[in-house]
Amino acid sequence: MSIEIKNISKNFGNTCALDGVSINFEENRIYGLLGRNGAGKTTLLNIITNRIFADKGEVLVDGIPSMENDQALGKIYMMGEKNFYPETMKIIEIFRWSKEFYPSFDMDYANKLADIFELNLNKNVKSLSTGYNSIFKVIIALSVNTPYVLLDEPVLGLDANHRDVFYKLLIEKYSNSPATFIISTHLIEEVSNVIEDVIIIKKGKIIRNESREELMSAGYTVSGMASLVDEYIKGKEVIGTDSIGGLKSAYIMGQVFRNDVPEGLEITKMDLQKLFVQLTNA
Amino acid sequence: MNMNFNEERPIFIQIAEGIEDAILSGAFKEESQIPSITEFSVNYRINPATALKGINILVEEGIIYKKRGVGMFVADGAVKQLKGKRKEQFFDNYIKNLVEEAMRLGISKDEVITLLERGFVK
Amino acid sequence: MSIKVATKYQISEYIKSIKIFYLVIVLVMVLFGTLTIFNSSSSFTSTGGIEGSAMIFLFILGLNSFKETFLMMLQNGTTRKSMFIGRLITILVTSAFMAVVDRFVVNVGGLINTINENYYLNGMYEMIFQSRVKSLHIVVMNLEAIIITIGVYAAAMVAGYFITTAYYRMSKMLKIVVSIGVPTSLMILLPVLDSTLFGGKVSVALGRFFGFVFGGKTGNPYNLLISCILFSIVGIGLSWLLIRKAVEKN
Repeated sequence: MSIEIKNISKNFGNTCALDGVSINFEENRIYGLLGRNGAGKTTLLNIITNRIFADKGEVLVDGIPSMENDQALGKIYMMGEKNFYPETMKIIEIFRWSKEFYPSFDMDYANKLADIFELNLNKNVKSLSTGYNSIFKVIIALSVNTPYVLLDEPVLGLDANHRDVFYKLLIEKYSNSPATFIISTHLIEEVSNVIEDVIIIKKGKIIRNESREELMSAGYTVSGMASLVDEYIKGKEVIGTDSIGGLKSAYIMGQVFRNDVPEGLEITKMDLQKLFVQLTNA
Repeated sequence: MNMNFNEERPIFIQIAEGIEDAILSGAFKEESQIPSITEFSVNYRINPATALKGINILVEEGIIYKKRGVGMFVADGAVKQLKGKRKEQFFDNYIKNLVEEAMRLGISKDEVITLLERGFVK
Repeated sequence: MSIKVATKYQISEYIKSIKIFYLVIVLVMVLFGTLTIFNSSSSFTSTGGIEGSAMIFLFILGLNSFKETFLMMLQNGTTRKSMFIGRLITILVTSAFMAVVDRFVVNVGGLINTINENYYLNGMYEMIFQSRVKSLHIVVMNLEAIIITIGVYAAAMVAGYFITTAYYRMSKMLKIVVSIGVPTSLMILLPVLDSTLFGGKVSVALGRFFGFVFGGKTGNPYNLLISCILFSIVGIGLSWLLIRKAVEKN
């Protein structure tokens, strides 16, 4: 049981949005699909859900090609950044239709979440603020109970409290009835504890695809006097550096051998955010 | 149990240490039930797999045991065991750093001892 | 399963508009009916007005049936195929429903006419196929009228639907070109060329063609029905080609 993405490529005119992307989203895991704006995250999610078509490659959902297949597409819910619901439709109506299209949709739970977020179900989509536009879709995503839930920038416009509530509910939902969640975002720090696996996409290519722990231990930071740092990093895979005055920090991929770290240099772990920034820098 | 995760060390280790601290402080008493994996992960907004990994460290060490269908409990003698473990780590975690910093600042051995005594008086 | 829900959804989108449409029709009939009955100098005449308005209404309904529905279907994991089949069923059901209701309305009009001569409401079928009406049994005539009307209504909806899907797929530039190009060539270029180059032969030919299509001279309503069916099939085929590859765009 998985979503298999096989060698997907997509061009928009002359710009290449995705270039030979292959990923396996396995059952009941939380993935972070990380990338800068325009890296191709939404394009990938749109291809998985058949909203747009790939130029090359295919997507298999539990082994079935998802291309124009109701059964495969019915296993996926995508909460997009853009609104696809009719603007004049009331939220309560949208919930009802969600139940029709996805019989596993849990109406009671959706109502409960609407209460928690203080969402007025009698409002229509058009009259919602940016934050509540995300919230009603988040509620559907958490109530829909499909095996695969794709969340594209789920916390867009949410204030700090609502964001916290969302992460709490997500973990709660995931603990009680596991599903595969794919969270696409550029706000890495917030999701870093929630996600299990990290996929980093840069200019339409997958540059990292591993567990969070693996990725975090894939690199380290060395800092100290510039001359010492420069000497130390010779021959190592340096993905970036920062300098302030005579002090320098270098971000290095690979394992650190404590024995060959000279006196005066400090080794620290790289945090996900920093790693991400360094990896995705042009 | 209050936790502020930092990025210096893996989260699962920090979870394990947080529970250890809670046991040492008496917040989680021996033979009492501790929160479930779900409760830990929901409360700290961390992936359940991470929470499980952290708790499994303690289970392997015999500090926590699982009762099927009931939950997880602090083992009898966990406090003693933890104190022993922490004492072993005391030198590495605290004394080494203390001495290093003292040398960097040029604080003599005698001065350090005086300061230590002051610390104990408080 | 998906086709069923897709159909249900697309029918539900129409219900409100259809309700409003009939509310207006009933209001007009009642208003003029009362006027005619209580004021002997006033009269109410409608020939083919019900079906004519229904056709325009259904054409516009067809025109408004693509983008919003398409996005809603994509959001809910429904394929273009299911959505499209659902649309065809919806068109058929809507046409059939309205054809039956309109036939009923025309008959009610006829009934009022027998009470008050100043109140005259006639159906489109009776208008086009005058000579045929008298030769048929009233039940047969009504059934035939319903069948023909279903064909006409479906064709009107398909026409609207095809235009809106075509516009959805077009680039902005192409939209402008078509919006200006098609009406000008039909309304200006064709008549001018016809009168200067072909000496009016084109308009005569067109007149004959449409005459045949509507079964006018021969008075055969099945010409019209077959024309509508052929037109719908072509429209449906073209719409499917457009929808098959349609993608989300904003």
